[in-house]
Amino acid sequence: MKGTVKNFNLDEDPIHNDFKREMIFYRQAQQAVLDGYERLEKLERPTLRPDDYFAEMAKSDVHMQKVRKRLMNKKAGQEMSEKVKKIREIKKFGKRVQIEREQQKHKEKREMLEKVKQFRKGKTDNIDFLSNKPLREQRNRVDGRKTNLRRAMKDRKYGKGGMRRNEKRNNSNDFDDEPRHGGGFQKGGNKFKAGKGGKGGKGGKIHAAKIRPGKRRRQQMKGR
Amino acid sequence: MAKKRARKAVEEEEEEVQTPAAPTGFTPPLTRDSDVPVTKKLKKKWTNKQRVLVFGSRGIGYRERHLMENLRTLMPHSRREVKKQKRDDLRVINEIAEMKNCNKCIYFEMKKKKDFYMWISQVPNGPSIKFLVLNIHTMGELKMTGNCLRGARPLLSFDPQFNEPHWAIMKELFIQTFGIPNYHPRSQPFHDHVYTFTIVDDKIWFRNYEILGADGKLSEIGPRFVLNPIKVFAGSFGGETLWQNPNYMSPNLMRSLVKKNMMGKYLQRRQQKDWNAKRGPAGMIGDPTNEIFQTEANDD
Repeated sequence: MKGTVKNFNLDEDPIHNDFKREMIFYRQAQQAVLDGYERLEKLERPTLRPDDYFAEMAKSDVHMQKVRKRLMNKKAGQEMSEKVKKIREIKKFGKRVQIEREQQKHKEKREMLEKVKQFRKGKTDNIDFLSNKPLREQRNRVDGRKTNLRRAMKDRKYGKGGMRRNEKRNNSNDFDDEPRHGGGFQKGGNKFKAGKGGKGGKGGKIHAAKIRPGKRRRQQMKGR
Repeated sequence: MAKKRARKAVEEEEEEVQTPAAPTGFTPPLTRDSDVPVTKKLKKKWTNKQRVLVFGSRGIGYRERHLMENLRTLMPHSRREVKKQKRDDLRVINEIAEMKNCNKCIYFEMKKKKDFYMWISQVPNGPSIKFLVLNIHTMGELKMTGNCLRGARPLLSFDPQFNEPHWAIMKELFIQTFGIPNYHPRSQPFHDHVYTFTIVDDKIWFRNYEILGADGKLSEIGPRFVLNPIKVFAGSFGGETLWQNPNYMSPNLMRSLVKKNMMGKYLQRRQQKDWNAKRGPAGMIGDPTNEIFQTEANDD
């Protein structure tokens, strides 16, 4: 008796594998469509329904709206779940970054305390750690720019210009700072020399070597 | 794998022979008023007068009733009829169909509110087939997203296995019943859906797809069902049995087998218990070689 060979593997057997079975039906229908349309076109008969042909359909409009609504809800649900997943991912990532930054801060603090301890104990004379070293990024920036010697000289002489951003900070600079030449009071009776103060006011650090002596002193020097 | 049968193709060739004046490249107008009566010309063209009587017995469940309604919407050449009383014989259907001037009939019945049977028959003297219908999904299910013109003629696609003798009768009956006659007054000009009949596991699987594009993109319209053929008769709703399905087991038989299996379990357990009781309790069995050392003591 002629019989069909049945597959014993349940996944392969189209009788039991729903997806496979439906694909068989789908493919059969597709083949039929291709063949049929070919034959109809040979006979010059109309085949596909045009978009502007309005006639009574097998399913009512109300029903088709329900179908459409269901599909849209399904799609919206999928999109929502995807969004939520993404947000969860981003949060995880953000949390990671935050934790890293905190750990970095703690590390720096620990190092600072170590250095202070060592200095206290007298192990190192270096008190560089107290100087406010600029942040890594700033340091990089400064090193990156090539120094124009002429420009640097002018800066030193006349000051950089622009807003005085970091001037009034209670830094170690102030700790190290030697009192200005004369400390505001000039020896030899020149008190409240406006010129000196003015010079200081011109901006920037006062370089001892560059302070110009007064008129009288210059004339004396000239005379010599 | 598919074998396609376009009823239209055969008829068109006939038409060409009879009326050579008929215009080729005839495109129907894009609008058709329902008030406009069918022109005599079209009426003349409609030669394949198939009329199918679709009805059922009393006691059909809701899903099955919806399936019947779906078939009625898909077939504009169908006629409806009231429910048949169960006391009436099946032969009565032939008379009912004759009164309605139908030459085909699809009759549904439900036994015990569980088993759903379908008869397809050529009414006066033709063959008839009885099927058991399973796995019913109607057009109203929201997963069936396709739609088609009401009365559009379908393309019918059959598995190549339908060429074998007993399947061939079914195929011919399906074509004449489900296929809409050419130039039927209630039919629509375009072909935008396709029926597939496939044989898997000795059962016929029916699917209805909407054709979305000429490249073969499809969307399911429904309904979908599985037909398990039981018998092919020579007469309409009775007569000599031409073919009987050897693999068919009536649902009653299946249910009784399942119950017997359950009963079998109980009986087996009972038997086991009785046998154990007969064997007696497991006692101490001594070493049989001890008897050698059991001598009679001589009293002197």
